[in-house]
Amino acid sequence: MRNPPPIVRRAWLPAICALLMLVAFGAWGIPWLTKSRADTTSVPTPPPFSAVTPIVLKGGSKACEDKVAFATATRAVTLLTAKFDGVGGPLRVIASYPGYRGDATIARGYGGEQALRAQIPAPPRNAIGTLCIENTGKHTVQLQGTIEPRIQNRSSTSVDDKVLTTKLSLILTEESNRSLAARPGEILGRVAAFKPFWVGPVSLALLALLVVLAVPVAVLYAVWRGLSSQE
Amino acid sequence: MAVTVAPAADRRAHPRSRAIPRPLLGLLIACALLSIAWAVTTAPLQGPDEHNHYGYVQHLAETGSAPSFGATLGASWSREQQTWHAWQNLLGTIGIVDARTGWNPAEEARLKAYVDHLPEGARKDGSGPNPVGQNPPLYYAYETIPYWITRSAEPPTRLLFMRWANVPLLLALVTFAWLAAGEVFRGRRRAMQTITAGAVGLLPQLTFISGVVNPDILLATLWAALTWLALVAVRVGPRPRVLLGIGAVAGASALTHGRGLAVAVPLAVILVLVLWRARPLTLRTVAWVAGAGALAVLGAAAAIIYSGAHGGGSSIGGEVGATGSAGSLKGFLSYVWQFYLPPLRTMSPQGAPYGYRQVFVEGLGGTFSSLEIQFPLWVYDALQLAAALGLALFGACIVRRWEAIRTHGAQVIVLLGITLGMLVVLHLSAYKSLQGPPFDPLLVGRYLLPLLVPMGLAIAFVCRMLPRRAGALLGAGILTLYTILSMAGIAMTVARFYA
Repeated sequence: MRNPPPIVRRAWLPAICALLMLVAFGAWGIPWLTKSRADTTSVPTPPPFSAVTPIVLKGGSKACEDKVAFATATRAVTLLTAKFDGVGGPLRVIASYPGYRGDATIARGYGGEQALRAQIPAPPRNAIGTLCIENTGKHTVQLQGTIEPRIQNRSSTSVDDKVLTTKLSLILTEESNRSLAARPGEILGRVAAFKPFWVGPVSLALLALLVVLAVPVAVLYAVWRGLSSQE
Repeated sequence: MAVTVAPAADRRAHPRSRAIPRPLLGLLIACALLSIAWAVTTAPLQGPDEHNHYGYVQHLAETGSAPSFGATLGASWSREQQTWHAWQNLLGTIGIVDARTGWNPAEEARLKAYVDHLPEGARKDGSGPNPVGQNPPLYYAYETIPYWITRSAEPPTRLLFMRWANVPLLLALVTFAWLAAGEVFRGRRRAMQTITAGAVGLLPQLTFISGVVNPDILLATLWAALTWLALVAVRVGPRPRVLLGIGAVAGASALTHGRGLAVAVPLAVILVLVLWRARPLTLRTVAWVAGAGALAVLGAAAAIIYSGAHGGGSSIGGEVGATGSAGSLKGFLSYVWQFYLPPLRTMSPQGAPYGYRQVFVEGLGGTFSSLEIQFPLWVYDALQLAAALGLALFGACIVRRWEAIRTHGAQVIVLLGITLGMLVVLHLSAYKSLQGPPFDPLLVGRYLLPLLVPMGLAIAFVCRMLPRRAGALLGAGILTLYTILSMAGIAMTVARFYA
């Protein structure tokens, strides 16, 4: 039986490496890319890193956070309750900026240390505005806030127009969870934000393609020329 | 089996070729693409201390002076940078997984409006206190070049170019690793060079650090150059150009970071070794060696004077000069033992459980951004197991080839000097910092980047010792694994900041 030609003899090592890469992509990459995850549109103030500082909201009181970024894709507001006894009363969520006001309600019956989600109407344009939480019930509610020095942001929180040192934790999301694979254009658009005009979704897509294809190919080439030839 | 390392007495120059070797070319392309991708996908100022490093570069570029360190009356960052922080939500995102940087066009428009009508002096007022203000200026001076080229652009564009300015440093580092392997290995040299350069250049932590503004990438490159030059010096003897190169690199190391002062240990080892091997000594030889030492001392002195002027007192040390009570030798040995091994019954705990796994495995294997992006635990478990097997194999290879290794004692001493010099200094400073508030060991994976070339050589050595096919398979497997981890790290970074 004749020996295979040198190019075939030298191909086994890069072939094994390529197979490993494909297996990793199939076993790890695809499930990760297709995993459903929250689609965040902005985080005016993130949840506390280590210690919750509650924001006390008496019946009829209103907490507002300013300089909140609303995107046209924003559909929901998530706030977190701090630890408290009993059952929380109804809350009204009011998102607003000049030319837009979106109201939503959170029904009574929730408890402490829960994530509360309210659907708001679609903002007509991307803008900076204010988000308020009004306690329309009778009983006091405690919401999660933070005074941690590491959480420094532009927004400030007030309760009944009195500005606090504590900041209300808020997360704005799209309507439903989606996988990364389901929204590549949106992700690339976000990567391109604040970058020069020529770093846009198209150039980023090309870069992604280069990284996904050319990096493995370049490494396999190095293995082929550097290791297989001396194997 | 053939002798694995180049004969020490071989003083012939290696054949020179102008063409880049093809395996190296492949690795350089892969590394450059990974670095560019890290720079684009890591959200602005989210690298380790990157907001402070950027602030340092801006103040140096705008005023010609570094920001101050410690308690001063100024601002840590310029008004322009603070406005950028605010409108892209940058400070509140550092290290906090649930936070997101801004990407809303309305936020972008607010920053643009500010930059378009920038108040007078709004780029010059970040005079400090800057937490990295004690760092010597070499890397920051280098970064002022892309800063000035893009000065008329908005801050995020400037940062992008500053990050991309690290690509040449990364490529130089990989090339030095390649050249160092060429000095060490004779048989199957091309394969060993490929494994060494690939194991260095594709390491996830290195490709990540090359994608953010951080002096660690320059420090790693300088130590890679030092390793190569030291191995050349062992081969060719006290050649003036090589010795002056070693001195210049050592001086540059001191001028790059406080940790760069650790170069004193390997430098002393290298120069003494060169003198020892050049016996009987001539005045000329001694003069060139002294010249190399003088260059290093000059760099160190300039760094100390510069940092003293900006940080006050002996602030240059940074992590190396960590404060805290002195501790004891027994305590230090106990700390080092517990860093690498489970504590003995007679040992008292030395700080929080933080050691080899966190620094060598998780740190070098990859924790990204400001340490908050991590692989699943099973990845680190697997890496730790692989590292343990690799170390056992390394030990077995040393025992098996002891006689051959002894004949190349000079190369071994150089590599040990470089490795142990940095490790001892890092452990000493970590131990000192554990003795007082905030009781933080001040030791993370990226601090080990200067040791990548000796590590890469160790991996290649193990591959060289194995049967030919098994060695090639192991080396290729490591390069493949690092490639997968680097690409996975970039993907996780995209999800962390933009999902």
